[in-house]
Amino acid sequence: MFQRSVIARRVTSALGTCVCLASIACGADEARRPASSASAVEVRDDAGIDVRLDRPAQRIISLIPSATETLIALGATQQIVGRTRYDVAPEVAKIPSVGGGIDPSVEAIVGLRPDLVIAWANDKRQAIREKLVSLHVPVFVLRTEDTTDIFRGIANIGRLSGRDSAARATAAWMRASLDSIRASVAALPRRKMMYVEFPDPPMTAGPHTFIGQLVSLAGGNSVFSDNTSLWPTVSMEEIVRRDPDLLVVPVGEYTQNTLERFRQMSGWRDLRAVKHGNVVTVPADLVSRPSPSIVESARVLRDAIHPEAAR
Amino acid sequence: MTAPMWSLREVSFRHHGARVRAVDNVTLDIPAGRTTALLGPNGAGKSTLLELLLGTLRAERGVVSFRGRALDAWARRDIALQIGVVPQGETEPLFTVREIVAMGRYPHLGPWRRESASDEAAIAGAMDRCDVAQFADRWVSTLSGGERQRVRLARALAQEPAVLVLDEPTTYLDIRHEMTTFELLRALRHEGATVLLVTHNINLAARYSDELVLMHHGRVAARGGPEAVLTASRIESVYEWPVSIVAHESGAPQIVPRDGAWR
Amino acid sequence: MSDAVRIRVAPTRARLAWPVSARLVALSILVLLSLVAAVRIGAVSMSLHTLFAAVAGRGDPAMVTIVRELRLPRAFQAALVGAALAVSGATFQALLRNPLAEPYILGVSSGAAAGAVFTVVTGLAVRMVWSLPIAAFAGAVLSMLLVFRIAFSVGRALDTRVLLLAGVVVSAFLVALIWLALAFADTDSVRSAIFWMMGSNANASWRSVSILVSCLVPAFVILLGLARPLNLLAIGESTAAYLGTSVERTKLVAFGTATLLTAAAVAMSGTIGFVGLVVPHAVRILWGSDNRSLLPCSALAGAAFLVAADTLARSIAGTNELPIGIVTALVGVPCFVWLLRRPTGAIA
Repeated sequence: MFQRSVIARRVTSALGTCVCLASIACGADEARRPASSASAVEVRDDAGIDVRLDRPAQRIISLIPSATETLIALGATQQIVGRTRYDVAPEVAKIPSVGGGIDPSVEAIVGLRPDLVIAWANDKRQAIREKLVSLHVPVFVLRTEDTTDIFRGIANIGRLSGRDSAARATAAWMRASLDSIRASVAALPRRKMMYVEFPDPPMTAGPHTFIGQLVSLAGGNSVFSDNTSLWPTVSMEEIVRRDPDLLVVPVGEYTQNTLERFRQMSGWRDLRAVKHGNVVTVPADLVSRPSPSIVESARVLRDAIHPEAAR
Repeated sequence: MTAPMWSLREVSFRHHGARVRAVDNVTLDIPAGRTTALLGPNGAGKSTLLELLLGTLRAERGVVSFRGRALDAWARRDIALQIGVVPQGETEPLFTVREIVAMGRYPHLGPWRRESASDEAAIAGAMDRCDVAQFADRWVSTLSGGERQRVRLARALAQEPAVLVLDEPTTYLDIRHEMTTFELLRALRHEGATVLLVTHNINLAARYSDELVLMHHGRVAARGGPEAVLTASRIESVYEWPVSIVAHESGAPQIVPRDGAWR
Repeated sequence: MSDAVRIRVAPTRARLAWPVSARLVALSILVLLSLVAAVRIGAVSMSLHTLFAAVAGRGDPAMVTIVRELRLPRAFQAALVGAALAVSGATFQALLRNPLAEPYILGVSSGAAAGAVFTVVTGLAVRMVWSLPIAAFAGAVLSMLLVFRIAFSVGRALDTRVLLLAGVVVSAFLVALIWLALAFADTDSVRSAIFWMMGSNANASWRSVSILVSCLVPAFVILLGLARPLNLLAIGESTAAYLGTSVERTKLVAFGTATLLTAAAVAMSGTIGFVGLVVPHAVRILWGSDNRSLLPCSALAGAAFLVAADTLARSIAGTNELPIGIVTALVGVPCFVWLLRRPTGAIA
């Protein structure tokens, strides 16, 4: 891949030189060629804006932890010059932090001289984006809600960082892995369950979020798959009425005794799933990342929902 | 006979939502160059009448004229140039005595003009007259009630008005300060000022005023010199309490309430 | 008048007896120092040499951008917003004769927040970035008009007690609406809305600075022209009338101007609290209530205070920015308590 693009570039420049020499020799006007367009990058971001870079970004500031992860996975760690305080991956520990993802220090960003900033689509004020754009810093807005967003994001990040081939390879590997996970539970009956993002007020993952999609892929049938919101807050009564078989609860590293907690919470303790002890935890850290690690998340979810399929 | 300072013709006023008129069909002249005292029991309408005379309330019926012109026709600022008011009490933000007294020059200066030498002289003179000059740079709120009263009086004097109106100026003052105030009013009256005074102190009013106006239920029950107005029967019917009349060394009648039967 | 004994009281000047010009000069120097510190301090450290070069437009383009497009406009915006809030606070305290009065007391902050939250929750703020400040301004003005309407419907005039009550009521109503909108909004909208409400000067640009200047200057001139009538009103409305002030007209113009000024400040920076309450009080404790000095001194003091607070907010935690409202409260309260304890008379 790398070879091909180098050869392509060399051929193009050689051609260009010939044309220039030819036109000088012929005394014609200097040929007007566009600047070596093989290296220019133009990608439409998730806010509908076309972001144009003269060449793949070499100094990227990622305000989204999952985008940072993706960059690392594509081998572009050296191209990252700034991260947020929420980026805890060891590979970027030494890279300076610019603050939060939604409220970073614009000054710190500018001081790092980035040629690309990857920003949240979730920021409902877009003030940071406006500020950076007015200072001529290219901003690429990334949406990270569902798996389509994730795959598109990987492809886009690949193009922006000049890692197209790595991106394609990663995407292919991800699809293959996800397919195999799906296949491993295809024959099993789908399990009625609820993904409990938050217990009070009860919040679950809607079918249009990547977690909802992974849950479904992993053989689970969310009792709230009819809800179109991304992260619906549902009433306890509804949960009781829909009577899930299993509760999947994302928890932090050090949280223990989740089942005990649910046994004490009013409303939850009367659920059949809690009474029978069908409460499974998954690492919150892992499953909340819309990056290539969704393969691992899918595996973890599959093992939680269908332990019998685990190998 | 000089023209009266104020003329009221059939003036009535009812407060918002009240059933009874606070001021009921009053026809009255307040003379110029004399001291007039407004007397009457609580609720008789003295304060309301005062506000009608000052233009802060508008008569429902009748006409209030000041210096021959309807009060409505006067601009606020022109009224302020003529009349200096000493109110009963007010808020005390962090102003020095001098700043408070200097406010009396506002009708002359307006919002922008700086104080000139004559303004400074008026302010200093007023403070001397009311014996508050030594407090000039102190916060007003650090003074006693009586001293604050004198500051307000100084402010009114700094206005250099033709008319001085005082609303209960000595209610909280002790004997010395009360007497000092009335002596000052007498001095001003000798200089040709018109003084209008609302007070509960009938006896001092009798000694220091030329005219008394006695109000009762919104009407003028009596008006005239102290001897004419202050008769035992009249006082008893207006104030609903038995009194005796004695004569002061100056000749003015003085009221002495008698013991009453407990009802 | 022959008083036997005159109590000789040494004029206890419980305050710094400076002439007005000295006060203004001292405060201006303070503002200048705080501006210099604001430009000097930031997330990206740079030498003095780099700094001066950047101000002049020379040297590393990133540093030039940081200094000229980020630090300078932000410092100026903080100064202008601080001045606006302080002047407005002083005006409200005079008009309402109440020491607890501050610029947000007539529902201005809730109105602005309601407008801002509306644009965030409906996604309008994403499509058109200027919709948020415009909506905040409009919300502030509308809530003021609502409060006035309520006050007028009770009596003919702008009774200050009714105004205060109407302000509280309108505020409470708008806050309820805001919480209603946020309860049904998605998490991201809630987060963005709350960030705005905490106040921030991070979006400062030369355009926002020029807008603020064009609001502050005429408003300040108008209020300075009302300084003497405001002094009289601070004593009492009837007294003001007796001394020749057209009370209702003064109140209307003063309330309107101060509210519009506050609305402009809030539209740019969010609802930054505490400045409009404490700065005028501090100046008053030092030099008294005379608005001819209080208004300009409050403006300068407010500017210096907010610039300092803003600098602190963005530099004390590395690249993490503290919400400026927290800094103004945490820093302002102890300063104010120290001032209160100086021997003086009443505070209002």
